[in-house]
Amino acid sequence: MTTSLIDADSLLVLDVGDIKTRAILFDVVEGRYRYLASGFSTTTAGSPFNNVGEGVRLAINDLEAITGRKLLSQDGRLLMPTLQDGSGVDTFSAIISAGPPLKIVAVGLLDRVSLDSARRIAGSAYGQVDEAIGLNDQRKMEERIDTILQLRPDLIIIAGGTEDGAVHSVNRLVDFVSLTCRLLPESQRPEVLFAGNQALRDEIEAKLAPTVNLHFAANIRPSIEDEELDSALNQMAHITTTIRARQLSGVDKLEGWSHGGLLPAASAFGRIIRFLSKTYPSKKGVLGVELGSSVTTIAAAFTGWLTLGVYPHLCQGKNLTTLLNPTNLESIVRWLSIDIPSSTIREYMMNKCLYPANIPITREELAIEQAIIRHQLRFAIESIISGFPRKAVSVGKGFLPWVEPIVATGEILTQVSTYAQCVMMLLDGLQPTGTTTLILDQNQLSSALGAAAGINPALVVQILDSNAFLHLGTVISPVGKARPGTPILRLKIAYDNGQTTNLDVLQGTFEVITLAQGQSARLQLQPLHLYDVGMGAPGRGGNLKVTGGIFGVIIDARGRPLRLPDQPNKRLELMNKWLWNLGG
Amino acid sequence: MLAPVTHILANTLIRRERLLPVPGRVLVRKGQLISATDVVAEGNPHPKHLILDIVRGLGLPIEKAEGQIHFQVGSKIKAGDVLAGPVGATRRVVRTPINGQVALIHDGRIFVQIEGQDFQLQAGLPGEVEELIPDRGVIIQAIGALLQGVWGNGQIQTGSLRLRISSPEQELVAEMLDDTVRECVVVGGFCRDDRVISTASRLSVKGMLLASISVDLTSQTSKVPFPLIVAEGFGKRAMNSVAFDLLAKYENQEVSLNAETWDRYRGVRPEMVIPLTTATIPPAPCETTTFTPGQTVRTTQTLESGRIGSLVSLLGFVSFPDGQRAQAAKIRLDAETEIMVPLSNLEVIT
Repeated sequence: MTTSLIDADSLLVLDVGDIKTRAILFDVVEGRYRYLASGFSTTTAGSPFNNVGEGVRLAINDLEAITGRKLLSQDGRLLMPTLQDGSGVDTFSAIISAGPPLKIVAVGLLDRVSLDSARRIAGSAYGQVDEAIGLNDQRKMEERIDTILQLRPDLIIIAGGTEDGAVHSVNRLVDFVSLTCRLLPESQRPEVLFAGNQALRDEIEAKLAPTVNLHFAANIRPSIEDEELDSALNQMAHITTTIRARQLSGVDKLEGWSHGGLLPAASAFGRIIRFLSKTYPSKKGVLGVELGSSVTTIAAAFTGWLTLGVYPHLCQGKNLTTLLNPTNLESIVRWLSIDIPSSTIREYMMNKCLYPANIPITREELAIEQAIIRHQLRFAIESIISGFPRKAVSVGKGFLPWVEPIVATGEILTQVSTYAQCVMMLLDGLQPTGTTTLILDQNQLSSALGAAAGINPALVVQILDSNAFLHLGTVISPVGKARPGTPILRLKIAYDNGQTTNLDVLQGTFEVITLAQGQSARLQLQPLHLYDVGMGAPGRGGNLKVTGGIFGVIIDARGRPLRLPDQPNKRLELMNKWLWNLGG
Repeated sequence: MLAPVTHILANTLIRRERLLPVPGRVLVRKGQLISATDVVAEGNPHPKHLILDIVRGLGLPIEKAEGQIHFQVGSKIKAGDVLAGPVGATRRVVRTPINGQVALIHDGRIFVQIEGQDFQLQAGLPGEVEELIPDRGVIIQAIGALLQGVWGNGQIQTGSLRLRISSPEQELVAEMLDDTVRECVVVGGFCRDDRVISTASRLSVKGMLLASISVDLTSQTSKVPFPLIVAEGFGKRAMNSVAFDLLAKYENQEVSLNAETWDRYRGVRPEMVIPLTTATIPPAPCETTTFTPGQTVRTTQTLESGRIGSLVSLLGFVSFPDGQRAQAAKIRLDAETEIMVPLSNLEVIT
């Protein structure tokens, strides 16, 4: 679709979250697309409304009140396209993350090959793999069937068979799925996605289509070595919205308004991160982090290759109790910035599950919430790294690959009291390496833009260029091995006004070089002791042009992986010192 | 802004939909009076199957083997029944070793759903069956006092109410439980003592409604054979005054506890119903509302006791001491105390 700004289209995006529903309006101002405003409401997917429509209406009403622009007709229809009096919008898009976690069964040939890929595909949806069945499953057929029947899954993903590879074994798995589904009541049969050997499509259609809603995607393991998830990711997005439309009243209306363009919010987020990875001049990947009340989403794209991880159990809401085991608690306690007993943390988590929409308003609540976020970010990153493609270059196994930029968003991050707290959570949780930029999507537009990309790419480009996204700062995180206090990086900063500053960065330090918004500077980096700053090889330095952000240049030389002192007093002191260095 | 609602009502009309997780059988009739523990429907959400290979059993090819099967899908079968055969000189047959139902016949195999213990859906509250939902469940209507909690252990029971605390702040300790609460429903304040739970079990109490419990007790309370409802939350929290005053009025009255897990999507939460006989039908509770001055509200702070107050005014966006900015309201707790609370941390009590 071409979008010359002469006949530019306004866009309304509805974002139906688990707790809040947002109506986001974009339009042309002074010849360029701008984000205008957002309206909010509580999501009404659950009781007593049991229809997302009421929340949608209220969010649009709120937006109408903010902008003074009428968007709904008297009878609740969306005014589309824009009328002569300026009311209404030209285009509409919608994203959804509301709904109970999807129950998914993964079926594949080999555990470390097709089943692993099927798990990764499942990980892009708002759900979890409750059961995985491979060819070597030792259970009796009856047991496997009963396990699935008791689970009553929303979706079964079948993978397996490389292209021109296994046929008979895949057929056996498909027969098993077919039989199992036939034993389920018709109203409870799952959607089935086949993403295996494409030579079997006709046979599989004949076996499964009469029983279930069958979807096909390209083979996720075309060969043992290669993994191709794109087609399956797209199908997963479609299947997720299909399931949501069945589960939640009112979703079908959004589908109608968006002409079938409704997307899961995570897929839309992944789409914008992939888009950035294709357009950003850097050869590194792009990392996106969305911290919502009910889910954490990590999207990483390396020159268009997307890895998407959706973690419903990593949230600040109803699934928080999944973290109530001693290992997780110990990890959370280590991230606390004030001394709080672990019993209080457990209490906090249990109560937050009861009231997921609650916001922390005391020092203790805030400290606990931010400690949990650090733990969850760490967990999410460690989980997703194994799924990154080979082209994602990192300094070593388990380290975050080189990425530029990191885009962070979500209710939890954008609501924190200070940008310093936000930056510290991101650095502690993600532990980036080399040089990167931190960008905060403070208006939570990323997923909305991902949805918009399909209908108005020009809008996406212009909003990304606008000041809707906040540049928090450039981060330099040298990686290597040296004793604390050892100089590991020589840095020369040449400001626009001709001034220069030299700095020796010591291992274990955390410093900030102020560079005001709009200012720019040239950095000359010379790593010592074979430290790696992501400029091609350990010990290799280079030049870097940086522009000012909220924090200018952040030098995070605390080490990777970041190891906190075991002594609680020393740990608390350090954490507060680091925060203090950022301005508190 | 839409407000979450918790019901603490002295007299109201209660309608509850009770549904099986899978299609099954409805066991009551429309208009029938039922108690909370009556089974209204049953079904089998955890079916078990047995696969009988007729091809191998009879030694015939698939088409011929299937031609020998005497039962159709849906047929009930009993252990020892001949499912297929006899064939051949040795008159080979295939018998079922168990009772069950033919679920599927495919590729010369019979899939038998083994007869098992059905899941029995209890009414959850005493009342009248107002509507039948074919194969799935019922809608029950009741009149009475209603008190909704925040956490429950999944059990259902009825019994006579015994209030064991004299003020909302009082902690429930094991010494407060004696023979007078045997086979009754105990109401208490905060509970941190695991002896309370073990004593209650020993006294065969029919249920407990507590203001709050220590997190350490959640595992133990999940396993007790009686319903346990937490009204306020976890950690030391007093019973809210509205609930305490209501419960104090119904000492010795028969009550029902449905300690279902709070699930916003399914619209269920743990609750106590105190059935009442009234001359007129009271209004049904208001399920949806927006925050409005004059409402009775409860704070739902994560680390503090919930406090009941009256909503004085809506304040728009306000900065809180930790720096958070949020839409807030001014709440009057008593004649001298007014506090500011984010709307996200409030619920309307009605």
